Amino acid sequence: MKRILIVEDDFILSMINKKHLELMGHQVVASVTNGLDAIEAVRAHKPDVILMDVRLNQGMTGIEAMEEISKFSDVAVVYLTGNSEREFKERASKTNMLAFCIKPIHFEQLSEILKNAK
Amino acid sequence: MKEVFILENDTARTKALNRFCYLTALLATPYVYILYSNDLILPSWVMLFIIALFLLSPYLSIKGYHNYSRLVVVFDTNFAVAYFSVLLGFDSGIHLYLFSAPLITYLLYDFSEKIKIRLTSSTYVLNFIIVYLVYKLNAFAYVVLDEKIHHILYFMNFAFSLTLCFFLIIYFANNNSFYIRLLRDANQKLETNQIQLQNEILEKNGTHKMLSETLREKETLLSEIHHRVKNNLAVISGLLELQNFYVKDEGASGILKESRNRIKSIALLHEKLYESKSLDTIEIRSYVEELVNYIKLSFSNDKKEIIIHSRLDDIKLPMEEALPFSLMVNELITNSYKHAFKDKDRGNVYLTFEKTNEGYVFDYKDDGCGFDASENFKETSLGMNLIEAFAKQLKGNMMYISKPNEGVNFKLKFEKNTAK
Repeated sequence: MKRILIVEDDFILSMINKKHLELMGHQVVASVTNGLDAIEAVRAHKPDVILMDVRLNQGMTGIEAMEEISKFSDVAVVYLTGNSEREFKERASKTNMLAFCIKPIHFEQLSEILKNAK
Repeated sequence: MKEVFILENDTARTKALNRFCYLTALLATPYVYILYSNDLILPSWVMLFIIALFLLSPYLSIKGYHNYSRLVVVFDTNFAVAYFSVLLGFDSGIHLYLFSAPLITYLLYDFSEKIKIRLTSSTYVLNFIIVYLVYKLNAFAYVVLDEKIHHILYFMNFAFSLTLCFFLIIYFANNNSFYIRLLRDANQKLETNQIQLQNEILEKNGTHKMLSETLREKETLLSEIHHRVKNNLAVISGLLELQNFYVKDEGASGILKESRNRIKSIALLHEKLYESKSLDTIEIRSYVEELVNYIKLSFSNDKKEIIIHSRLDDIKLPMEEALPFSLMVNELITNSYKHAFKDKDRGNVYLTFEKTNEGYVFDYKDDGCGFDASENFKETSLGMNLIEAFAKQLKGNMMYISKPNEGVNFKLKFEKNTAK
């Protein structure tokens, strides 16, 4: 079982992801919608993995939020994105990235990724 | 502008040269009288000949023989000075006319005609040297005139050569002001043009900036739309997958999985469209390869070893063709996974997509159990109905061959979309 933080600005997707993860046997420690809240949530809950949407409506992007988080935590991240542009991937790969998944995510695939996470 | 300038300048030069010839002919007339009254009959005829040549030059010029007209002037001036200097003596002052020679040369030719200027100047310099040497060596017996006449002649030579110099100086002064006026006008026109150009550049920069901003806004909007589409498809797909967790019935679960795969194939299409530089066509090879991987993954629980052999040409399809094509490929592979290898642990799927002169040929085969492709089966199977609908959407000719235990062979030919 992994303790997971969900960062997703779409509430429906966030709920669907939460349900899936719980059905897979993981614990969702928090669901937030922007980068600043994500940083706070990492400090507060110390999750094992972050499920991070790359494109967030407010403020920083998911990758920028992870760059900030990496300054104080080595938490691993699974990025979820609507587009797989190379510049995003390259920048994302410099953080503690487990996977870079294109929406809609395949939950069986996500399950495998989380199983292999430390 | 340059041509106009040269033309105007040449006309002014020709006019001045003609006037110079008339003036010289006029000034030479008193010499005829003086020479004739002093019994110098031949020299007076020579002077008449010189006057005639001075009048011939404007005539040639009017007829368009400008070069001959100028040569006549050069010859005439040189001949007149040489002949009368020798005849009447160096101290008669005939050579004073030679001091106007540089001005005559520049009246005859433009500054740019350097060779002609040098040649003409040389004739005058040579003329002066010869006249001076003849005088110094006393090679000829001069006509000795009465002292009074001699003085009158000297005065005339001095005054007339001075008059010619004045005439030429006035011409050059006028010509200079003509140049300045022309240059000033040209400068004014250039300044006006420059202001106009600056205004146009400013206007174009403004338009360019506006267009760039509009383009950036549109790109942002497009990106936002893609993001929304992908999120919406993710919501639908996620809900179907979530629903699947609560469904215990295997058949219902399969239907949900198929629906999710259809959604995924559309989402993948949007992903490829967003990646594509043209934003209206989709590169089919990379798309099908990813779709195949996804379908393989979604059936990974079946624990069957199904190898998909694909041979795909570099083909780009527009969105309206790529969508039915992608759903058709998804349907065919899903059908093979679901039905073709029910009683087998392993199997092969062969998939080719080729470009031909007429359009495209898609060929799909599997070595599974096959089925009885009767009309009744076609009517009741949703998968078959969908495949037929996709083929119609592509305006293609579809062929389906299948017999029990002989696998399935599906072929579709469709033309290139020439609507765009």
